[in-house]
Amino acid sequence: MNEIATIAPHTIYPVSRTDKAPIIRGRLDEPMWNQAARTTRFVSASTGGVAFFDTQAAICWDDEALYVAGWLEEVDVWTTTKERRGLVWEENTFEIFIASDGALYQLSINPAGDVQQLLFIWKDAYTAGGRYDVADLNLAERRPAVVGGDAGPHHRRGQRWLFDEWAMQGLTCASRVSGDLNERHNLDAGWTVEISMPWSGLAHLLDGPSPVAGDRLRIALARNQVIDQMQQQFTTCWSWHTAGDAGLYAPEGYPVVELRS
Amino acid sequence: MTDHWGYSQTDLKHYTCYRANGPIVVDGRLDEGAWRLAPQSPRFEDLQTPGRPALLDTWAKLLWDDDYLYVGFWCAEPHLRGTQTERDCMICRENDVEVFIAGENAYFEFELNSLGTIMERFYIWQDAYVTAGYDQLAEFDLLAPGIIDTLGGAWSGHAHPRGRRWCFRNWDMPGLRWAVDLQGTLNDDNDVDVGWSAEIAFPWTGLTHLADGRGLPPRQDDVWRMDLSRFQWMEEAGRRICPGWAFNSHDVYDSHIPEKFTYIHMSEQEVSTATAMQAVIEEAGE
Repeated sequence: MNEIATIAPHTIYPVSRTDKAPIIRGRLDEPMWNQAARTTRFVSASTGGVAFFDTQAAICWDDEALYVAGWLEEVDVWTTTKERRGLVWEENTFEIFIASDGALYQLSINPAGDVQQLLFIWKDAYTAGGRYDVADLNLAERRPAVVGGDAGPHHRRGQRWLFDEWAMQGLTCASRVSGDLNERHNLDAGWTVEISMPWSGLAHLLDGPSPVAGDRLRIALARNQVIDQMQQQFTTCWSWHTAGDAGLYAPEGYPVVELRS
Repeated sequence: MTDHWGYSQTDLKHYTCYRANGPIVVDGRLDEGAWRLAPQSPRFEDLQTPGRPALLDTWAKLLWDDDYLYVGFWCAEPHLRGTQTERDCMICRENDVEVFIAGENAYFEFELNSLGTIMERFYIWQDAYVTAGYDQLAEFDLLAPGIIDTLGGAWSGHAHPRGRRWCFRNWDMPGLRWAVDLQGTLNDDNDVDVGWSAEIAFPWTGLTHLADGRGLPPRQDDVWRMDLSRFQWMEEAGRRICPGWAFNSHDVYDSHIPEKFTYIHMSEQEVSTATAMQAVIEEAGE
């Protein structure tokens, strides 16, 4: 097997082009996932410190879609899919953030393959008759929340519309558990995720019609992890890049990825 | 809203709001004869726990005339405190009194502190924004400059089965008047204060977007739903908490549930010794 390159978040990640679209099963056994560069091991999103479970991801593309794979080491894979607080499940999830000048898309997926999607549009980018003033983002009809006012996440740029019922057309995702889901007393190996986001579904995040080699995107990759020890339960976040105090909803800190031919 | 979104109406309180029998001077002192004759609410109870009396005596009275709805508060308070002076800041970060006035599809929030600083917000249920026609009003344009927020949903608290509300944080009620009167010394904990009273005049014309066909000024037997409450910060034993005390409990620590607001029954009768007696009789009968 080839040595797989690992790419640190402060360098530009090369998104390799695949000749053959993956079948989205979560298995990650297509050859493309053994050739694509992987991210460096995720770290504490707030401090950059070592995260105790290994987590890596990889990204590929073709003319149809952007593909993301995630490998998550985990000794006890579980999910209830119910507990949710704030913008994310208060459970173990793999997360993708894609930012553009005006918008931010977040996808969370749990070990059962359940998906939560959020689409944020900066208020200063949403103008009457502008590119976001379209049917699937109509404020009166789609009834978004507002963040950055009373509720976080806050950002110095100001408030954002949050479309929490928006769903990407054509999105396909799968998770696969190596072990026994929700069996809490044996040792699991972990779980993997595989996600296909068609470029057509990403239109609100793109400036042109269809991407070409050389185009760059800002993408953050992260993992929410419940720490459940000593009668306490809280959620920590591990990510490819160190987000620091700004947090994962501050897109200016996201790693840059570049589509390669 | 006939099912009240699952919120029980059984323990809610009812109040008869009579006409004032003379002019009300909005100076914070509830010293007009009309105030003395107006029915006094029961001592406020815990917002979360029905029947649990407020730790500090708190009550409200209401009156009306052709121009205004008047709300008066009394708050017993051994340590008068207050520092916030900027209008529309988060008054509830310190001690305050609050008034919520609801329509079918929207409600108004008013907060007032002991310095006379106020916060106003106008909320519209997202599910009714278009159907009730609020989207046609320039003052509720979602893309207008200013701060338009939302309330409700998992992360901002105040979850409600009806969904989210649009929150117009810059909305001001035209013609609103208010005043407070302090009995004691502000921000001096070396003496024991008596308390403070508040007097607020809500112009009927300011309630246009909440009327849903009710009279402005009201007609006999019109019913309005209002939440009258007080929030009191307490620092004891290294902890800082802020219990809420209200005319009637909401069963939860959340003011933003119009279905739990007190029933205010409007009467065209003027306050008099007879109405005062009637209030005493009604209270005895409950």
